[in-house]
Amino acid sequence: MTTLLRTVDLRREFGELVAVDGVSLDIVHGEITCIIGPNGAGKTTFYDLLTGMVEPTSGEVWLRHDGELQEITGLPAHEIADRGLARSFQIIEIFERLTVRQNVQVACVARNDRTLDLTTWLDADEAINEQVDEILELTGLTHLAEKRCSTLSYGQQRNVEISLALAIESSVVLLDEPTAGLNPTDSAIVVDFVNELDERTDTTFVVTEHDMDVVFNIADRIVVLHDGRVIADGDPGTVRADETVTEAYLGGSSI
Amino acid sequence: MSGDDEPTTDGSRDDEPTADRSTPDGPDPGALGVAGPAVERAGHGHERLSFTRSRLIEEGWTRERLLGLFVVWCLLVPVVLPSFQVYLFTEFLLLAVFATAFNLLYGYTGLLSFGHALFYAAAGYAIALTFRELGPELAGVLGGISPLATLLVAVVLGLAFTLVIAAPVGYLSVRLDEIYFALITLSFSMAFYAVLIQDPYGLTQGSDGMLLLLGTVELFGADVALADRNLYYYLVLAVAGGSMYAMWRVINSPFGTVCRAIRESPDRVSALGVNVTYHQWVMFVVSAFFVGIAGLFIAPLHSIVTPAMSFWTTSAIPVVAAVIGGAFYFLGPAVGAFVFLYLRWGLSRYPAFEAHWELFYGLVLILVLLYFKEGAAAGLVALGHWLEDLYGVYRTDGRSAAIEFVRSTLSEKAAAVRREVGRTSVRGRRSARGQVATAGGGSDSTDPGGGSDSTDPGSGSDSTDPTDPTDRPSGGDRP
Ligand SMILES: Nc1ncnc2c1ncn2[C@@H]1O[C@H](COP(=O)(O)OP(=O)(O)OP(=O)(O)O)[C@@H](O)[C@H]1O
Ligand SMILES: [Mg+2]
Repeated sequence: MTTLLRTVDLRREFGELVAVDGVSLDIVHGEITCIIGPNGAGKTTFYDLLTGMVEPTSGEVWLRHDGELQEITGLPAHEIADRGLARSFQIIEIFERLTVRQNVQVACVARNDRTLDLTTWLDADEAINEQVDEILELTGLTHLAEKRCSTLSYGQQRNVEISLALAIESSVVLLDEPTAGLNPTDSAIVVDFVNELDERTDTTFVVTEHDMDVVFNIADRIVVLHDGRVIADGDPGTVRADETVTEAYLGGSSI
Repeated sequence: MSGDDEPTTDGSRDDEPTADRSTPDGPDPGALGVAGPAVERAGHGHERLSFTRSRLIEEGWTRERLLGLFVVWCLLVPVVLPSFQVYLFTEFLLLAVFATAFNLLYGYTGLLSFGHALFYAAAGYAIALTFRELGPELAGVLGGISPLATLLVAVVLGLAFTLVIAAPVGYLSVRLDEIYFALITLSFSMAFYAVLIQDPYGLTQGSDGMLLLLGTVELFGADVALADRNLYYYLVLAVAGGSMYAMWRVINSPFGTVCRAIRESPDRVSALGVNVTYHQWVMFVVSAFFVGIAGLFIAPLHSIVTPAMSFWTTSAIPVVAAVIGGAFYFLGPAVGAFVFLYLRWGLSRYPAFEAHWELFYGLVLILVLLYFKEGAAAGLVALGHWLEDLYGVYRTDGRSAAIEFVRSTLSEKAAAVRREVGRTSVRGRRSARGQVATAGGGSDSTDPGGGSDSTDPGSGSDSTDPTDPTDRPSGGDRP
């Protein structure tokens, strides 16, 4: 069991509010970890802290890179991403005026360290476009490749969002509510390719999710956040049976 | 999101603004905006449209053909146009390079620089200084071909000087956001203006500026004046053509695509592992480099360089051109430069207008911002489509149908504009982020023109305020 990502007593305050309150977690290779918790529990803020988009008030973040755990606290976001930590955003952040293909191209260009290539005609670059096609195939966007993102439906945009996170092929991918706003069919597609990638590739997924069907469908391990604190952590069976969780979550009714 | 019901299948086609302005997006920068492949489009009679389109392509009206025609036209300019018009067209080519280079940063990276005159002036002064200081020396060594050699040396030195200035200025500027970026670039260019006026060590001759005469080359026994209007025109044509092609390559390269993504969402790009400020800096330098080329070759055309080259009114030229022409089209700023230059020329012929020509710029700008949100290039494209549609209707349904088509589309357009004006007045400023948040909540965002991101040329009337046309571009630039 190799630890890929570790937080030590991670804390973030927003004025009076403690959004993340002393979280210490190890994310382990090959295990899909689902982070659940009610609205405002601190899930997104936790991701922001991991990826360097928000500075922690205190605590540390470590990431495995070049075979050893290295501290990444305080590094700029792009360096953290470059070391193998990718994320998707809960509030869709894609390149709206670009086509779906161009969106994924940007990610693949970044993956191949080709961002400073000023002379190649990108659309004619076979190496990159092969990778792009692969990603589009995987997330079911091939038929939309030439469409501009602003013309896509919400669910399709959500798919582009996830494609970007996947396309840089990092060792850990954090998905922030990947099925939010999706209909059951689209949501099942997401579940399928997360499971598929989990098996087929070396990528380790961390997923926040409100939909319990999805959670129990993919999770090897469930972490429950409440008011910024971890109140339960274990395999799905254990967490489902945990009473503090049921209480925090739905005020008593079972999940 | 709205607009997802458009039946378009080709990326380059749904770029174009339709009569329905509720689609919250501008055109894609990659689009040249001339005849693309046959596709269906929202609006009247899809089959007919694709019929017209494929018909026109069959008849050979491809993008390549249009470009070819333009090149032929350019080559013929000195033959068919009178001398002064050749001068004006030369100036247009260089302003087009200036505006397009500026737009690499503005339309394609999302950074509004208000100090690009700095690089224009730096290169201009570099060539003038080279001719003054090194010209005589080289003449002593090289004799007859020395003006040509001096020109080559000046180009190399001028571009080197531009880069030496652009690197640190860009490094400091890209650290700042939006309006602060505009202000710091403005400050740098005005500082350079102050230096030029100060005449340090008698180098720049203060507000008088420096004369620049390219001289005459002796080639194979014949005397060739480098500044000969036609000869110089062809030189500029080659330089401008090469520059435009190089910039077209840059925006279609991996780097250029990353920069477009930075324009859309810097946070997302850094989450992909890309150092955003570093790439903005590189694009800043690339942009300055091409501005330098324009500055280098405009100086001999005017035969003089003055501090006004670095004044903020010169920085406003590419901004105005990009806004008029359309910053999301590669050729938009060039179209804008054309409108800018020829409108000014046209007005200058009527003394009554000339005195108030700034006023006319004001009107043109307001017109463009109100009616062609994506600029004249977008307007031209839309007009082209309309003519195409009309042709299609005429070919299939005859003349009365065509007349009916004209009537109905015009009244539709008028209604759309009325709606738009109504909405503009109540909309006010909404932040781009707020818009994303709405989208995240799964609700519709129907804000046309994509909110008011101040770097968004499509809607940014606020971002163009500094170009207030009541200020007079400085004398040195006027023919
Ligand atoms: N930038 C910020 N400034 C102030 N408060 C913030 C900021 N970001 C988050 N918060 C607060 O921190 C708390 C945790 O928010 P966070 O978005 O991390 O929750 P979440 O678990 O992701 O919720 P949801 O399920 O709704 O996405 C919330 O109370 C939120 O209001
Ligand atoms: Mg959240």
